[in-house]
Amino acid sequence: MDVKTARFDTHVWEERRASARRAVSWVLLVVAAVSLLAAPYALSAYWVRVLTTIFMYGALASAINIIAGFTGYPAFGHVVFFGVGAYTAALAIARWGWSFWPGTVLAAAVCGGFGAIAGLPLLRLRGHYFAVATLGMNEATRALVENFGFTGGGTGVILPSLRGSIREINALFLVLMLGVLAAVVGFSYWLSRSRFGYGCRAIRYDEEAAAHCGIPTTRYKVAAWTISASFTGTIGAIYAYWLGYIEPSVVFDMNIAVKFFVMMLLGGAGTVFGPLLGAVLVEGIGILSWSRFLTFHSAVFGLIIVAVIILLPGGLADLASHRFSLRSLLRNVQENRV
Amino acid sequence: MAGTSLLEVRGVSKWFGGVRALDDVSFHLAPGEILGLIGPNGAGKTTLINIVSGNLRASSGAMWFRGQAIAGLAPHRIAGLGIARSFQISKAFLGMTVEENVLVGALFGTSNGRSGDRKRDVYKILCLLGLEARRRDRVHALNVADRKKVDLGRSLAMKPQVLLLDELMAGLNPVELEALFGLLREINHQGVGLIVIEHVMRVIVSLCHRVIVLHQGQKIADGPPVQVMHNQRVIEAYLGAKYQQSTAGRGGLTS
Amino acid sequence: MLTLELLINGMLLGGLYACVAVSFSLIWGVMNLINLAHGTMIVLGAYVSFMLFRAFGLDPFLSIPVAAVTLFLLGYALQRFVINLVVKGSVFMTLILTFGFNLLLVNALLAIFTADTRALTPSYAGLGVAFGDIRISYVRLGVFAFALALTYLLNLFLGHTRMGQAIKATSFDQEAAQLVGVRIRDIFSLTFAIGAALAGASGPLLGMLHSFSPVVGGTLTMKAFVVVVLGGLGSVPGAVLGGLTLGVVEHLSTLVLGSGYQDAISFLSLLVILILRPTGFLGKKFYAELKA
Repeated sequence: MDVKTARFDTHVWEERRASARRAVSWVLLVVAAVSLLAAPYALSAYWVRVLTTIFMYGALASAINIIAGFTGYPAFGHVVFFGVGAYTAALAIARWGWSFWPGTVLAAAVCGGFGAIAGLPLLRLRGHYFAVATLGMNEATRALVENFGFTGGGTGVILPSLRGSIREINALFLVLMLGVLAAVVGFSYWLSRSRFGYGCRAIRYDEEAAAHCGIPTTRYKVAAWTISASFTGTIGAIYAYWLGYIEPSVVFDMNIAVKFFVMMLLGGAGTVFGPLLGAVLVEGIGILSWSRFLTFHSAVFGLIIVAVIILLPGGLADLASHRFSLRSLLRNVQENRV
Repeated sequence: MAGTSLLEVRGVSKWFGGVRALDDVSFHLAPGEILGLIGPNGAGKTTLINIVSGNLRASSGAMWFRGQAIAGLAPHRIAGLGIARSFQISKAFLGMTVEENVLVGALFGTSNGRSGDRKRDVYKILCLLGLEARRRDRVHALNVADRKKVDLGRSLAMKPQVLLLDELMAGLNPVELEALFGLLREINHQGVGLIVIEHVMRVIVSLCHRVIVLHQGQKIADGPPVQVMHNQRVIEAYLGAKYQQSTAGRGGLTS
Repeated sequence: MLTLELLINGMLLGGLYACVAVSFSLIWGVMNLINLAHGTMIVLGAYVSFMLFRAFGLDPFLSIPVAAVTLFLLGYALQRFVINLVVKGSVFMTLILTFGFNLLLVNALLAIFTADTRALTPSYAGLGVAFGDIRISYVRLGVFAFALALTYLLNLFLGHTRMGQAIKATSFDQEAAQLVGVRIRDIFSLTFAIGAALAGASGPLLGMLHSFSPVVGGTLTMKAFVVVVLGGLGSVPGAVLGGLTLGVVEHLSTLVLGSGYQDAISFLSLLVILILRPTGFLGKKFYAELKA
């Protein structure tokens, strides 16, 4: 066996060890998930709702990670799909008598279609232009929904109430949100190892070079956005069903968009578990500041956003790969300051 | 000629607004050939490469690759057919590791092998380029010369039949230059046709089978290196009389 | 005749939009920073004017300098100590930073002034000049005049003072500007301060045309963006043209769609422009590409 082959085989062995380690992490994850499912029977209703909200934001952050983190297109106004999904499901369930699952599937499909159609022209824009175009898309959609009669205008839509005990209902939505979260994270995991995923990442780092490597950039971008939109729409649908009432100013709220954007950045854009981590952290901080600074909690949240952006531009995942020290934080600041 | 050439470019012109960057340029690349593309700055060399690789659309003219018309095709289609290119400034994917960069080339180029074979191919290319020790490093941590190697590795992983190289040697010291030179020879021996834009004349003379010279968008010479170097028009437009004197009697690079 | 009155009122409103957009465009063009707090800064200026009006009966037009100075100081401090830290970072970072600041500012205003809508109504608010069936209020004319005057002053400043030239140079090529001795950090701070001051000056003008509350800033920022994209980044005449266009389109659309859809129209125009002609009326082609 010549030296080159020997080195290659060592290389393969290292990879196998890394795969084994990953498999163990997956097992732990599944165990954690299963124990979480027992939560509604162990914790109070308040905490179950908190957990459900964390799962929701984790899913939202992971969904936008697909287009913004992996593919590098900062879809700032991505909450538009949350709103469209919520409204599609709400209207289907409340007005046309559909049941939950078909309503949710419809929401995902409508958002996917909307994303694909809007994506073709909008994904030709880059950077700031793209970011604000998506913002405009959200605001335009919100303004339209507020004015159209059939969407209930500014007063929103009320969904039929659910049957079952509080505990059962809480459990249901915990499971649903956890389910979507698992689906998005699972997709992200596949993305990180698939040919499509490599193509998207190449687009993020250098779209021109990516095209010259043979990557069909337009097709990939639009696909990433469509998938991300469908996931986000699904989450919106579940949210609508959960809350029982939606209105434009809530489901098209830019604050939600920024929140899950920050979660993605904080946890690490372009990583598989980063956005979920970021969601746990930001929601955790949010809960702490809400209970301590009731009146100012929005302001505190704003301050935290500012601090995070300045000190940790690469997010927590960045932190994990370098050694955490004051110096590395300061170095981050040095790189980006003028 | 059209039947046997790997790449055939005929009558290509390019206008940018009122500026004519290329004027009726025609040339061909035979299989296994190394073609040098030289000329002063602004002559249109990079524009020509951009047109061949699909980055720009020619204002007029036609191109064939292995008999197939390629004018107007999107860059990714042309890449998929077997034409890979490098850029003047390295366009490696900075946030990815060296290994991942080369893998992208393998995933999206013309190769169709199984993923196990692909991994082996990537590793072989890394060894060929001397990058296997740094394969897990992210490219933004590498210096210019190594980044260019990553570019080259990524292009090679695409298993191209034609490689367009835009000033690969720029900014390299003599040792790095020598190494890369040997590499290009080796790649060519494995059957890849090369079009090389360079300003380093030693490389052109020693490496290329044939050289074409562009000046103000027009092709002013086309032939073996030594013949082109002594072409009066080329000397006036680009090389300068001093070069002619200093290279009389001297060969190019060894190896 | 309703059409003509709408047209004229649209143009008058357009003057204000132009002024708002010019300050937004200045910051964007020089530092590649989209200030999502821009609209709220304008609202802050309106509140400054409101306080002076309520306390001293000071005419809103006269409180413009006060609002401008207040926002100048605030803007300078913000840029110098906070934004300069991340201004070279990615698009995400600067957008989120200004969004975070916007959140802070809106909440501060809500805490101090509550969510009640206010308006600036000087004693002559109902009066105007009449041409046949058309009535144009003095206030609208005054706002238009002041808005254009401020825009013109900014243009003069940029074109004819050393500071202004330094700012323009920085927007074209930061490295070259540094080579001739321009200190980027100071230029950025000054530019943001001037942009903020102009926004603050627009506050009283806005307050006289519209009722306002702490939360209306977001829509204003969007409109500034629409106007800049319409008129072309980097062009003051373009901003004026874009502002007038938006004002007219908004008013005329009420003929067809009723007043609820005005905001939707602005945003949809934005999308249409971005898709069809991202460089706007008068923007230079590669300017927009460089800044993206």
